[in-house]
Amino acid sequence: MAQEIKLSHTAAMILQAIDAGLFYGFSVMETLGLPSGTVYPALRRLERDALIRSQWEKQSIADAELRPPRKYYRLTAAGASALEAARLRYPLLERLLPVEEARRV
Amino acid sequence: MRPAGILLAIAVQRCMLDAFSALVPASGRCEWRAEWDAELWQVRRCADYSTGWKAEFEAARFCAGALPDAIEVRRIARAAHPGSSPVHRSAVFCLLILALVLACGWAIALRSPAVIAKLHPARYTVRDELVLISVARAGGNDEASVSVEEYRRWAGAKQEFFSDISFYRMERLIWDDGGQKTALTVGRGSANLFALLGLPMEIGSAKPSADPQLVLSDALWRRNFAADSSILGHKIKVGSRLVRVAAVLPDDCWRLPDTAEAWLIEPKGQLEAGAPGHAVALLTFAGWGLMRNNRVVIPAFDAKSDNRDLLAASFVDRAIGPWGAYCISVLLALLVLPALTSLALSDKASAAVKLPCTRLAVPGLFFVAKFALLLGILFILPIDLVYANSKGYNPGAPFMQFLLTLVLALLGFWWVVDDQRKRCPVCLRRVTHPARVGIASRTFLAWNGTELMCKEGHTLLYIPAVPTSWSYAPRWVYLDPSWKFLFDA
Repeated sequence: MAQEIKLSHTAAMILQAIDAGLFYGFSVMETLGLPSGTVYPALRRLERDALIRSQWEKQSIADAELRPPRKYYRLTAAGASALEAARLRYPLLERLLPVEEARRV
Repeated sequence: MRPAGILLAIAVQRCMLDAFSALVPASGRCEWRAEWDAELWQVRRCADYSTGWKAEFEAARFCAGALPDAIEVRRIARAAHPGSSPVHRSAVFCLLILALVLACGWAIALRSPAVIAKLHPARYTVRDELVLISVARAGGNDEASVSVEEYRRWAGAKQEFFSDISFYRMERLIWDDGGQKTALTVGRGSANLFALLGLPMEIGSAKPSADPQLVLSDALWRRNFAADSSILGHKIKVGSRLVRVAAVLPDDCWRLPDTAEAWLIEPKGQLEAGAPGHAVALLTFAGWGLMRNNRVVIPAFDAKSDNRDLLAASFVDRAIGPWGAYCISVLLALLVLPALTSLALSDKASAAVKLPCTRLAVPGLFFVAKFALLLGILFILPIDLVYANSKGYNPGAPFMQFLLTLVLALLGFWWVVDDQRKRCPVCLRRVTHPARVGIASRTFLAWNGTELMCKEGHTLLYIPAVPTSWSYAPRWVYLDPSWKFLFDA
């Protein structure tokens, strides 16, 4: 049985934000109101623990929108199950950032 | 906010990211930087520029978050590759950092005219016979205590203890520059003041003349005349008179009490009575013979006051120069060093291990190189700190330099010895992974101290917690190649 990863509240919030459709660092930062010095190191740790994976946006998409390409983060299967466990541990997590609402941000 | 301000803010933000990216391992640095650039672009796009500097401050605050991120990335990378020896532990890195600090110190020195001037021999040296005269009752301090009448009386009478005397006092006079009036602190002096002091002039000369002459300070000349040498000979209105600009005095030459922005040299006998001032005299051989502790009391008689003895104090610059302050403080630090740390770099027992002569010479050469670079830093850094922003002559500066050099030398020498003690004699990398061995209460029964290891697998270092007769200095244990497999993992 895989070892269960216990997430801190901040890490759980960030996972929830990514699950809700906020796929890059600044959008997570803006929505959660967390400083950059908290969000980015947390993203590194989540990626190290294979709860999220990162992927660079295609250059053509960025060029079309006249901006530099973004690095997008997605939940892995392990991340999704860790988030499920975190939701049980932090029941207000979903209310803090409902998936549907976040997708509209 | 002006475009120049925005460009400056962007430059600062980029500099922050550049600096922090140095912490990220080279293999992932480009990607890390690209992500932060993209995110910063997003931050700037969403910023509300109607708030002026606040938006730029927010962007800078965002960039500040790159520091913990870079540290985290570095930590993760190092945890993923525990066997790799960090660059900062290597001898070359250590020497490079010291060389960089030294280069920065010299770069600052070369950009600062005040430091350059200090590194050159002094332009002016006060003659030993020159003394500042004050009334003995005034306590011999730097307060103006001599009246013009007294000066005239002393200058007119034959004196036993001094051969020549001059006078000056400070006044606030208005300089009328074609309608624009500026208040200046002007030193009004007797005709022979500059000749007696023997001060060198930047441009022009201040010889005694039949007309009042104005000597500008270097700072005033640069500030108000844009360092234009054609000002010499021109007449400007100072106070109620037109005076001729005769010379410019370099900033670091005036060593007497009270500094002025300009000096008004009055023709002989035209100095009017007014506030008390200072008298400067040239001691005769008789006066020089009476000098004790740079001071001599000259008995004088004054019909109006029965106690007007004079105190002549030498104002020769007895302060040591930058080289003197440096040498004394370094010497002092070397003498104090054995009280701060043990100078034994390793236990003699470890010398029993046979190493090639070339291998034995490398740690010594590294130590010498480190020490030489540190000596260079100790010379230039305190001079930069003390003199880079100083204006004019500062009598307290040599002491500040001495104190700074002493503190830095003590810390630096301690570090050089301590660093050397913790470097593997084979690869010169700093040993790591400290482990406590033994129990303090059993010091006399078993070895008690800290064990460190070379990450390359060359040596183990044992540092005793309490020096004892059988183990008083750090001891190296050389590992033979059979141990190598443990460190290659």
